[in-house]
Amino acid sequence: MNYLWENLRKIFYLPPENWQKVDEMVFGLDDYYLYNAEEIKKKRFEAIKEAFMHHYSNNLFYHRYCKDNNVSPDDIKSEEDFSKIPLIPDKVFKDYPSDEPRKLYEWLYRISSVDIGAFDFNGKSLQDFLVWAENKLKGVVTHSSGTTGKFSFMFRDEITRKRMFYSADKMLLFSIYPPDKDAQFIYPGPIKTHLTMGRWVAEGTKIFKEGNRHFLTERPLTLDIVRIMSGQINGIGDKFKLALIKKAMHKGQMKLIKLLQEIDKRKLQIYMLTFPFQLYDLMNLMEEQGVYLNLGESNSVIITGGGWKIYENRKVSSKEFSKRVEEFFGIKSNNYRDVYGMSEMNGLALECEARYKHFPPWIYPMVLDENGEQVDYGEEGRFAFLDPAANSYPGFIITGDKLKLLDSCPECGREGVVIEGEITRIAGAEAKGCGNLMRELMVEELR
Amino acid sequence: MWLHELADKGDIIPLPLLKNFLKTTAPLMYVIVKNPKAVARNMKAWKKRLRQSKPPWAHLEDESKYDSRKMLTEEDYEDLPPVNNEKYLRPTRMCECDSPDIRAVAKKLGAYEKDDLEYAKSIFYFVKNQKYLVFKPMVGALGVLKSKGGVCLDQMNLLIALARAGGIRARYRLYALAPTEEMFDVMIKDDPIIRETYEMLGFLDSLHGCAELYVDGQWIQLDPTFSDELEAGMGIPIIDFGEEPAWRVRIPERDVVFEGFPVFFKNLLIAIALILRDTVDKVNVKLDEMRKAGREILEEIGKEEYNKKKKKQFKIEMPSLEEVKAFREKQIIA
Repeated sequence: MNYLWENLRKIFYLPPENWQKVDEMVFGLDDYYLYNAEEIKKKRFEAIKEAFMHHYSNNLFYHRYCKDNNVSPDDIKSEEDFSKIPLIPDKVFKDYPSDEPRKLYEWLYRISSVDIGAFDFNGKSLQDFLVWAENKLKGVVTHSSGTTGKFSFMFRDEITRKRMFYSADKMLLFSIYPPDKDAQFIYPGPIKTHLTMGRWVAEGTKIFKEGNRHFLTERPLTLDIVRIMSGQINGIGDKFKLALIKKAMHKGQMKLIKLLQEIDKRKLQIYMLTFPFQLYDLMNLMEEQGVYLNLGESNSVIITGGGWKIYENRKVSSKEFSKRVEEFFGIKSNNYRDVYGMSEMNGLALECEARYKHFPPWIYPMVLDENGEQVDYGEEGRFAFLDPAANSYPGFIITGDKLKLLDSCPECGREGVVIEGEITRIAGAEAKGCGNLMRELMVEELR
Repeated sequence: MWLHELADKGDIIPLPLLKNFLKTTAPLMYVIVKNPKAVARNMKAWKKRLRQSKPPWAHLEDESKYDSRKMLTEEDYEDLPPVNNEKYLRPTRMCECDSPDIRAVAKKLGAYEKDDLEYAKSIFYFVKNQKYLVFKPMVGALGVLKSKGGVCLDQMNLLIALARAGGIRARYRLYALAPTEEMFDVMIKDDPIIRETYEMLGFLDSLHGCAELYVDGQWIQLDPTFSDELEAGMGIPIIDFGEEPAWRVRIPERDVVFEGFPVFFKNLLIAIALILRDTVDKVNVKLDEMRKAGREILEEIGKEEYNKKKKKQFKIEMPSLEEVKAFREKQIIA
């Protein structure tokens, strides 16, 4: 194994003596898709029960919520009882009373399953508060795009952070095509931000050497700028900052093509993580400029995630998209994958070669009907999940996504529940996510 | 100070409202220009009104059977509550608390007889359940009293007028919100103009609000917009006096508080009723259907049983900081 694996272990690995049940899967499994299904089913049950007990015992709001629903950990005796575990709507994470740091801290304190300690923040800005909160939690704090006027805040403590990024890196870097020692990571967006995708990338790619990771711009994308983009303007200074970052993004896009050409010449392997619409735009720009690369020779990998958002009308199937990726990047279909994740979920569902998205073994995915009842595999409905890897908040969540699950992949033979077909938003659920915000940052310059 | 007072009373437009109005108008115009077909769909609805010699934005339903004055007797008009000219008690634009009809209803509902809290509850439930959410140009408190109901802002008008007529200080609070799925389904998803405008705005600013009544030394926020039947029909919890409605997420720190509506509000809704006539008609039909469905649900299981189930699904009570500290302390000791 090269330095990337060593760094992954050094930065995100939890030693076995600190493991809880879920860690036997997150850190203990060699392969997230090849395992003994019966054994894993048992482990997942134990992990979810243990996590339920943890949140029930340490989180007063969830404790009361369970009591209101007449459920306690004793009621969870088998997987059939998972339907009794009270699910939290994802909108709870935007239910904070005020943007004022102290109030946000108090909300965080009240909603957390871990103690974040006393409030000793001396600054004034919310952006600085997020950094403070990360230090307190030794974790990662992210926010949504806030395009419906309020941000969703997700707060991961050290344990959750390690589980999240260990599994994400292991999955994205080591289960598609193993990286070589000179592999270059590319993310065509800003990483000096707490906006979900950018912050995740900044954290997850720490395992790369500094010179081997490339981002679109070094300019920060702060909460103030994100807020302006959602229509909440707080003065001319913010508008100026927005103009600067937009300019930098555009410049960055052109620089990115040059960088890719350079890497192609040097026959280096790349790992590029991007929103599908960004890649779509990039390929359009490459087409305009007549740029065709052959990164497949170096076994490069492109991963998209985050959905098409406001580009829904231009959405093409994953299969068709992979053909276009091959045309412009020379990367074969097997090395182009789409991935599904939720900002509240600690585990990604990675597409297999047959384009089915496989959930990792510790996540218990469900589809619910309009009355909140679990439906059978093959039926479409609202996505919900039980995630025992969430330590700082109860990871038992109802989302705003609509999808269909199958109990196993009909094509590839790997383990895990899979998502079949397209993922859409339930009508009325926040349609504009962080992907859309990125899209808006770039749309004027690129069209 | 003098300017602030003028704006508060509605004699000039408060600056935040003007800004919000302009911010909403630009995306709306853009979407209208982009969707000529959606605008053309109104043609039939406009013609129907013109044939009846009514303006194209008019609401056509015969609302006479909903006239709440029918519940009044001649006796109710005797010894009417006094008209007060103090701030928050005096009549303002579209809040005709000095009207004999409003004062008679106030008297009927217990003004100056019940204590303030009980009277506030009576008028809240009266507006919530006797007057319906109907999308039509604003008609003011008196207009709502005489008809089936009105838009949310008009229902606030009636609630505030009844409060003032009963000697309770009352004012308006407009705020920003994002509708929940249930509301999005009713109001936004089917019409491209509304949907695209909403997507551009991200959330709605100052187009909805609540009435604030000063009772027992504090301002109580009340939203009488959705009747019990409508809430049940939409599948959301039925709110009681002082509770937060479940059809929207409120966005903090963007509230505008004032004593009286500025003049442009009435005209703004005329323009919307004109441009979105066809959609507005459909939304009103949908609201009637939902009320009917809600009525059936409530007849079958009753409000209490319905709410027991729904409130659990929708409302997660957040404990106080002190409660959490005590809980953790206890857990550590255990």
